[in-house]
Amino acid sequence: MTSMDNKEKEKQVRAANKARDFELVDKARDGDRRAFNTLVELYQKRVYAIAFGILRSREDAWDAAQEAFVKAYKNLDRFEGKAAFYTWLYRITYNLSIDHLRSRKRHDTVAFDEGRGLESALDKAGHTVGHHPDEVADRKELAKVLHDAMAKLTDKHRAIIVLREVEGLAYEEMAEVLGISKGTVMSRLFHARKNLQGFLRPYVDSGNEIPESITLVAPATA
Amino acid sequence: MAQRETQSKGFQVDELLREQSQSALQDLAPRFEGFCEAVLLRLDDDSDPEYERVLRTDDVSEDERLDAGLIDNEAFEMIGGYLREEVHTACEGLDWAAFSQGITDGIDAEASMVEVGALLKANTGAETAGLDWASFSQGISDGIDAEVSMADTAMSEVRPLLRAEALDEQGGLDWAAFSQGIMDGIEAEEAQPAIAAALREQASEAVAAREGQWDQFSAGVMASLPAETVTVAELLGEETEAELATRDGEWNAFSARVFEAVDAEERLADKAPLEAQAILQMKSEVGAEVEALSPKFGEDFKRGVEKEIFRSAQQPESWWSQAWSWVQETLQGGMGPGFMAAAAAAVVLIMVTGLPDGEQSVPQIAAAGPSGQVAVQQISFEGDVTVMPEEGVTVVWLHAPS
Repeated sequence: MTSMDNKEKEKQVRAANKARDFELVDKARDGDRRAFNTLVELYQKRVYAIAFGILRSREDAWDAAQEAFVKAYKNLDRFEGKAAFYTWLYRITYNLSIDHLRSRKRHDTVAFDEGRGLESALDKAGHTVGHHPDEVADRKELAKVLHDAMAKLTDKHRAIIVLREVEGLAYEEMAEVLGISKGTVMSRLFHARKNLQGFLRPYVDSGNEIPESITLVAPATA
Repeated sequence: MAQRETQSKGFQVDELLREQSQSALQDLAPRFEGFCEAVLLRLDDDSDPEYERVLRTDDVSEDERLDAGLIDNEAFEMIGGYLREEVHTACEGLDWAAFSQGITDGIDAEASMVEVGALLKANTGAETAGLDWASFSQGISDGIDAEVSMADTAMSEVRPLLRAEALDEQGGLDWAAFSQGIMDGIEAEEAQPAIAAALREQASEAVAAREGQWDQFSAGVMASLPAETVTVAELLGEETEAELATRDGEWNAFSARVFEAVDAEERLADKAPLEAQAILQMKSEVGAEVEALSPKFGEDFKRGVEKEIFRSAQQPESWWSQAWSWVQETLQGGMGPGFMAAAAAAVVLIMVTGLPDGEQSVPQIAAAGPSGQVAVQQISFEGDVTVMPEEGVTVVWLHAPS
């Protein structure tokens, strides 16, 4: 199958999903609890993934994700159907996550790195059968450096990378989610990567030998 | 013609005389050989040039003999004696009959030669007597002149013709093109050696640069040859078999997908720069987190959402929340800065004065009643009804078919 065929097939699947979501939204508007539950089942993991990617806190992400669905439910009437339901839902999630971060900063609480994220990354980096202990240590160190570099990004930069890389949204979809133009999306994504490079530069300049690869697992999808 | 015949006859006579003379001399030779040797031996012994001269000269006059002191010279007499004696001795062994015959034959031969000569002369005279030598010579001169004249005439006629032809030929030629052709040819001749030299130089440099690498090159070529003959399908087949062998016993639908995903990510990570690896790791972290919470998704999450929906419905929305929502909605609607300022001012006004009575008509599902038991006498509703008892609160969902 060619890439053209794949794209066409993907387009068809998206169109079908969009139509399905619209139907479910209509039913939910009419009070169909099962329809709304279906929407929750379809998008709960994705919404949580976005929230966790931005907030990096299990508790905050869990609350934000649930809150996003509540807000969506309460505002179903405002959903005009111009865009896909999930981009509207993701926008709510993004706004709530940013609100959580602001609230967190106001209360001067640090809740980063809760959950399985870093622990998992370190485990994976260390789980390299047949490698020398020194090399394993190097990989763990690199995993920590990479994790910290991501944490240093601004909220908006981290959010845009999450939307792009975790959710795999297209530029237009990201523009809808973030409420900015497509050009701004591209520019922000570029600067996010650039800043990430800058944060990692000291590690490279210090003469550390970068392992050929660090063992990663594919991100879970809904 | 007569002259040629005379010459021919003359040659024949000479040849004949030469043969006869040689034959006669060959016959006499052995006899003279001993005689002459004996004379020469005597001369050598005395080695007197004067004697030699006298001995060798027969016609020495009397006066000369006297001047030379040879007359009445005992030595001379002695030599003469010797000579006579020698000659006598030599002559004693001679066959005088044959000798005489030889002489006679010789004389005869001479006589015949004279006759032949006379004959030849007579013939030649007869032959040449009738010839007009002047006209003969003139004829020869004329012939020579004629040959020369013919050659000159021929050349004088041919040359103008050749010139005319050459001129005609030249007239039809495009001299500019001809010259250009020559120049091109010359330039090509000049350029070719330069190009050839440059090529040689490049080739030499390339060869020099590869000095010592030819073995590797050859080995590479040889190594690539078998690969050329193997099809992609065969290679993939081999790789697949090798992969299957290394993962023997691990295969099922789940592990296959997992390994596939791991391999894909590892390949990606191998090629990715450091910042891309950071992003990949972030994806991995989020994926691991979602996976870790997977059991909680489903009922737990949904109940949490429903509970939040119910609670938010129970609690009337504050005027502040309503105002803020209105402002957000307004901002999202893309109003101008002036309108946004007015909206913000309105919010501030509301914050200061509060909402007027009767405008807190927030939609509510039910007002919170006093705690305790609630008895429901009768509910009449057409559609789906779902009752959810939850932490002391029972939620009743009503779904009316549209």
